[in-house]
Amino acid sequence: MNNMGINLDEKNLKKQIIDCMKSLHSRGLMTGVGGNASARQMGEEKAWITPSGLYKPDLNPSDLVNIDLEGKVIEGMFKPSIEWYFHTAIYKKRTDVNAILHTHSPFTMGLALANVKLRPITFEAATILADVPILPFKYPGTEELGNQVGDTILGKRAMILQNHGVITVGFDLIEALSTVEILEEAAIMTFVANIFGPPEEIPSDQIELIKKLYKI
Amino acid sequence: MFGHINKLIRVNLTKSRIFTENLDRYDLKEYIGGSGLAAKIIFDELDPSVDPLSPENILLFMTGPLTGTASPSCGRYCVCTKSPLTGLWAESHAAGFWGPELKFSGYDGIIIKGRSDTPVYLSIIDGKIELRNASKLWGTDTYQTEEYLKNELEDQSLKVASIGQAGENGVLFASIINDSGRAAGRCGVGTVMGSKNLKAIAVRGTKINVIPAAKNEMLKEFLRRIYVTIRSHPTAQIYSSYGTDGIMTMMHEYGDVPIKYFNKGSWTEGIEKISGEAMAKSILKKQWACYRCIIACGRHITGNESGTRKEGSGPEYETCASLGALCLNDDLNIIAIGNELCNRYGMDTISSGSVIAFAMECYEKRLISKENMEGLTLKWGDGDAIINTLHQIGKTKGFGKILAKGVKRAAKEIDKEAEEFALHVKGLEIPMHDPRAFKGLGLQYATSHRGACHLRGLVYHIEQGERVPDLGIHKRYERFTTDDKAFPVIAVQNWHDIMDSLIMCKFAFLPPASVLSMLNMVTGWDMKLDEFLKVGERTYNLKRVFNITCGATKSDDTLPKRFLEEPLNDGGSKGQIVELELMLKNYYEERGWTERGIPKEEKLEELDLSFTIPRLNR
Ligand SMILES: [Zn+2]
Repeated sequence: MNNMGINLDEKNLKKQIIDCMKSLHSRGLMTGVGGNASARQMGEEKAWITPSGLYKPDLNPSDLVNIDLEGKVIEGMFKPSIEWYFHTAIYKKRTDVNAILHTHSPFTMGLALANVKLRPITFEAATILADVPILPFKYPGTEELGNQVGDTILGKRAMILQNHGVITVGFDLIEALSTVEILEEAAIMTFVANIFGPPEEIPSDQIELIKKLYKI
Repeated sequence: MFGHINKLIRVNLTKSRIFTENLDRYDLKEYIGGSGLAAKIIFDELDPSVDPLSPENILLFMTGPLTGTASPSCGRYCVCTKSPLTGLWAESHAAGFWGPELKFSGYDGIIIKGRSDTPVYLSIIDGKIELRNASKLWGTDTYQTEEYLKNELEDQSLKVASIGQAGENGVLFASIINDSGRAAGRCGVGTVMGSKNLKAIAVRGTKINVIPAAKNEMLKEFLRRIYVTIRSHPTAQIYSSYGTDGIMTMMHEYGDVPIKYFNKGSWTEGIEKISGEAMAKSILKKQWACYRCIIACGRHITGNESGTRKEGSGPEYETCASLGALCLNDDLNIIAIGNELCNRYGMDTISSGSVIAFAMECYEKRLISKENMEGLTLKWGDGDAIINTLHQIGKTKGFGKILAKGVKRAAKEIDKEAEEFALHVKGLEIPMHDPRAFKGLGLQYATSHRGACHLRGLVYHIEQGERVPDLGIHKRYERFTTDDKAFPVIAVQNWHDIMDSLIMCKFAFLPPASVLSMLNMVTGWDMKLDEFLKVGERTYNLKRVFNITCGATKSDDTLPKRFLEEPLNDGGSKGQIVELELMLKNYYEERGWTERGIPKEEKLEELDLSFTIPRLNR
């Protein structure tokens, strides 16, 4: 199939991954050693993923690793991110997902650590985030974590790994990146509101379709 | 020319003659393409009094200017004709890859007239059009036909649209199937194809795999950034993960899912077993996406060990409701098997489930005797009965012979009392949304040009609080109100007529302004938004006039008594009936139609439809 316009070409796709990592790092949404990203061209059974152990804001496109959905390295000079298990688990489950981001967004994680769930406080929080599940802790970089994520990813575009970090997915990196941003924004708002009392929610009848569809 | 190929195929099956003509003999800015342009062609060329199953009927396969281009969710084609079920305008759309492939092969559409003496199929490969012998294929199902033709023409990438035994046998709601499970399902378009002895149309274009746009680079850049908008609609997320059946539990909460042939409003325990979530946990293997679709609502399901359920195309929401809730069947396995049967025989799953549920109610009320049914029992929820009846309908054997005529005609043959609860509008069975849950939908069903149709409007989204500013839908419409429904119903009907002309999938929720930008980039046009929106009103009115010339009157713009007089006792729309009269009156007024529902001359003139006036006055 011709994917003109749907996909960036490989060169630009790889560059977009690098740009995403820099952007996330510069805004304090991940440290230089935590967090990872992957992206693929629509319909492909392989993806470009960030390497393990390298300082993320310093990455070059040539550092990325191309892996198949069983984690086998097809191309690249480094080890793929240890979280390739959950990246591939998501790609296997979601034909519509072509990009995955993993961050350690501090406010989002802070609320999750206190088991505070995000509510539909803004229109974006309602439509884009909907229900963001908090998954019980599983050891990072394990197949067990991969399976847990794969089993939960249907119907979600963001999820939180307790005591660990955030996963967002999208048709492309822009969608995944926007979701990280909206999540953190909603978390900060919720945090501030909670200082004074529980946050006000959007009246239910105004977001009826969303609330009913997502069961939030 | 960009977007359109500018070539139409004309086939006269009686004389085995094929020729081509340019598309630009029509005013494309007035009708765009797809079912809008088809309406113009059918209005011009079809005598509205012809028997739909006679050689004189026209069968039109059309694509639109966006079909097969880089635009997302534009893998569709439509089939237009005069319907054997309703005797009125018929259009039925299917997705997958057949539509784009027709354009890659060098053509925008196919106009078919006449009837072949012997079974034939049409092959269109890289510009070369041939009528070929299909005698060997007669009697095979649609999946077998596809496989056979791929082998015969030695091309596994061949795209095939075909009828199954239902279309051959004259089942009045026969469909046309492509890509092993995508259906042009409604209105009996497959029946018309069968009546012409046309088994299949196989298409292939090896030279290109995307139709270039006038402003290719601009389009590419536009598309790259518009995906987020399509995906940000909440239904896109749900459809991606759970298919269209992902709305099952939500719609049940509204009292919208029809249960026990619209007799029950609540069935939580059953609904949970046939929901999209339940499917994802059980028989789902993977998502399936049509040509350049970024949602992938299609379901690819696993087979079972006994082999009764085969791996392949899985059921959508409409099918899960029609073979499930409507028949009080909570077995997803039966639904999946039934879905495959309907696809293979080539018959509409909505109408199939509807005639079975109707028969179940007849059986319960003892309106049909056992001997009449040749040993079949039709108890509510009986999975074997559903499967057996589907076979009987597809083969038009036994009691299936009666049910194959659709509920309206079947009721006439069964009993006077049965006519009271045979649920249809203008002869087309009701889709799987209860108009008592969304009253605007009731108005939409009553006024839709092809009969009870949920897809020319999807007005329930508006009644769930969706706003579409480009269409003037700014406020929150409540689902049970009636005095304010004419405007939004008309707005979405007109809008969806445009979507069906482009042709674009209605699940890609983009604002009309963005869709127009895409059309302009593809075609190189410079169309303005008001001009664009006018197209929908024009084609909607043209189809209306066609129906009137076929004999439709105001009395056909109605709903079955069940929705007008009988409220449900439970569920989310408990106690509600559809107060249609008032809505209809407002609707005619707002449309610029007379009290009898006929477009006024000044309205037709305003829409450049003056040429229809002499026919209306005849
Ligand atoms: Zn991490």
